Amino acid sequence: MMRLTTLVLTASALAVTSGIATAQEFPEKDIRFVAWSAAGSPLDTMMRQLGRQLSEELGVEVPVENRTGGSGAVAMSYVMTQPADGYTVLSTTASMTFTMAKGDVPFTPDNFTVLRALQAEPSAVAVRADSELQDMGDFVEYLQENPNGMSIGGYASAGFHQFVFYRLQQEGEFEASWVPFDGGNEAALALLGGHIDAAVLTPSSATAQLESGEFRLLGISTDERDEYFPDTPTFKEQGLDVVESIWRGVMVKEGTPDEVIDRLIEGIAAVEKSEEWQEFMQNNMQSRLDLDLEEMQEQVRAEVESRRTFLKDNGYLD
Amino acid sequence: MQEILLGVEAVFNWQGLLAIFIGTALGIVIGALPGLGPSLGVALLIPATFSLPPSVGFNLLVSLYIAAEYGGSISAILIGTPGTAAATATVVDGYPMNRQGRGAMALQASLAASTFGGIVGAIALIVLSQPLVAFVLQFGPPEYFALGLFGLTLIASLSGDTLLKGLAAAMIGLLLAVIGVDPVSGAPRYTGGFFELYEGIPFLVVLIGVFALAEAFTLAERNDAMEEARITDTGERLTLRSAAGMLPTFLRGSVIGTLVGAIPGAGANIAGWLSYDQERRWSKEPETFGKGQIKGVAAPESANSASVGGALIPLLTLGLPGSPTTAVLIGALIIHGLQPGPSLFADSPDLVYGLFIGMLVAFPTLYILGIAAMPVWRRVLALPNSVLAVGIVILSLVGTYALRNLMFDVWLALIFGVLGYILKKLRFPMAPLVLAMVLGAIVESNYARSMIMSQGSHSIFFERPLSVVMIAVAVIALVWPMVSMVRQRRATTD
Repeated sequence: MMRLTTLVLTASALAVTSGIATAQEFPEKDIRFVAWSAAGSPLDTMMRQLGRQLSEELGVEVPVENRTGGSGAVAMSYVMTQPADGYTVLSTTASMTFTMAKGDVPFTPDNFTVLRALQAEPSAVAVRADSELQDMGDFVEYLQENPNGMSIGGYASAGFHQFVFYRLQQEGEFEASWVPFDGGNEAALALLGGHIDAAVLTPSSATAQLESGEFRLLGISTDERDEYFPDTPTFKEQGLDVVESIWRGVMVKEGTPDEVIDRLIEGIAAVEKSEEWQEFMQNNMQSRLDLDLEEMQEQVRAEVESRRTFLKDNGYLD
Repeated sequence: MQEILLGVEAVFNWQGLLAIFIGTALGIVIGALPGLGPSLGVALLIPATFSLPPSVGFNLLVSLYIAAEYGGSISAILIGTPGTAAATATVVDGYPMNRQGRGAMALQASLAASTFGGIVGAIALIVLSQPLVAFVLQFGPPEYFALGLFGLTLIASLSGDTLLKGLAAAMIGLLLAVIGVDPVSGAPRYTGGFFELYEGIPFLVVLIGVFALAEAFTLAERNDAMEEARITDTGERLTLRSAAGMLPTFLRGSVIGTLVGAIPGAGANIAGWLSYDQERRWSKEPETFGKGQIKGVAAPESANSASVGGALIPLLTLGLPGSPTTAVLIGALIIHGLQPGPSLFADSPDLVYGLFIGMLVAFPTLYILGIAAMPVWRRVLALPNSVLAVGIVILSLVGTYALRNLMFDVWLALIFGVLGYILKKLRFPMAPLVLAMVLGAIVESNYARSMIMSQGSHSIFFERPLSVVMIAVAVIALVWPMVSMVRQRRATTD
């Protein structure tokens, strides 16, 4: 009896102190990063780099767990079973807004708070060096005169790159079909082998071909000239108002206390300032999507809406 | 010459050699464990390379890749379960050899074949990169479709004496391949609302179910006391002479492995199957295949190890991955601040030539470590069925869980285990099922891609030389056995 009382007392004392600690200083235990793609993928690589540096900032371990499947739904539903205390942080990308727009997953932007988009990459239209097309003007003109006159493809069906292509079609008023590939690399390979005439891809997936001059970019989806491809004119300056990027970031379950979110964002901001992080971004040819917490939530909601229109127009959604 | 010296310098120091040794040792274990494979192994080891010079780190990862492709055959032979997807074809003859008490010889044949194939693949990477990459670039969606079609004709030769049951098993495999996101519309189909199935049923889960668990259930029904349940070592070992006699097998397997390995989207698994099939077709005694034919082990093993060199060709010449594992390797290079592709030759020749020399060192290392580990595997061979059955179940389920950290996959593997057990009892061959599952996805998505490219015209498959050749080969492969069967029957009735 005596022992039981002591046990209860100690336990409640512990509970009280830890309760105070959470409110005062997050984090007091290890933070788990959940990545929804396989180990070694670009998203996983970002999570591991961020985890390692955040661990130095916050003084706790930040191990990365991979939970792949269901276009992220497996990881999302896992995070939904965890408490909203900031100790479980989930990776996220712009592809989430496609999955949500399709309604394939039982989640909406309301279920999560996206903390930050740390990386962003544009999409670009690439052709082989021997192509006669020199810029987006040529590209649009050719397809207006020859609807479906060339094979154009890129990563995935009903995903980001097809979305960019669809926006280009809207702006340029041309017709062309889309050959979906299982990866940006595969699309690059098909373009290199002459099996398709143009690819819509993230330029970093064909760096070697761009460097050697085997591929030429006709246009890129950044707002201003891209830092890594300053010679490529944007779609915008060529009269096609298409500004889009595929971003990668981190999010937590909705309902996570504000002070915890603030502390996480503070830590992430410190990581982003570090030389090590900037070098990592350079190596991976990544840019920043510099949005604050509120802008980020708006961005996510706006994306879900625009994706929905795209999916409906292409018959992917009723 | 100067570059080769640079490579020698990068490898022959204590760090470089130790990295190859550790990578090889780890790779054998990771390959042998069902569920863990080369791509996961390499990904998990990347953080360990941060503090190493890029050349040393890269050799660590590549030797793990090399050894894992061999390691897969160990569990294929010992417990009838491919340790990696690429070793699936090895089960077909490797496991029967083990049940006949010739497991030790099967293991030796696999090691010899892997070492030989791997060195051929490495030499091809060093000497023949340019012509091979030109061949690889010929592969567009119609060619992948034709290759898949040709692959499906293998089902006939994998069905053994029961063609009808083989075809039925293949149909199950094709149906399984349909589950998941539709490659054209991007919408999930036949997932039953389980988002765990959006990317399709994980291939490794099916492998573990129908091979490992089904085998464990079968083993568990046999009483250890029963004479027939015990395996007695026949004492057969691979002699230098019998190894030399298999040289043509090794060579054929190595060539197929290098070529198919270099084609992104085909890979080590399909290379193993194609090599197995060719070996059987050219054999004077095809009826011995599937019943413990040693060449049925040597052929796929030389091919899947040769595929490593092949898969590195697109990485070095194009900066694009030739296999899932090389995709992870590209990630590792980028983390080290290096740009994969031809510029590597100029920017970091120590890494490229260090890789070449490193591979030539890694394969002999693999052979030595493989021989050293033989007594351990022989001990596994001597385990009673009851221990083996429980061991297989534990290893398989842990491996399944490790794939995606999902209990869902564990249940799925158990379901496939029961399905595999029933099919086995009914004497359905398992190989056509898993082969059809791999090829089904390739055939479907590339058919769809080709149709979009040609705006719905099938002529696209017949306008391209490589596609035409492969479709013709597929038709011949399908028709020829029937023709010769009819002829034989006529001969006997006359």
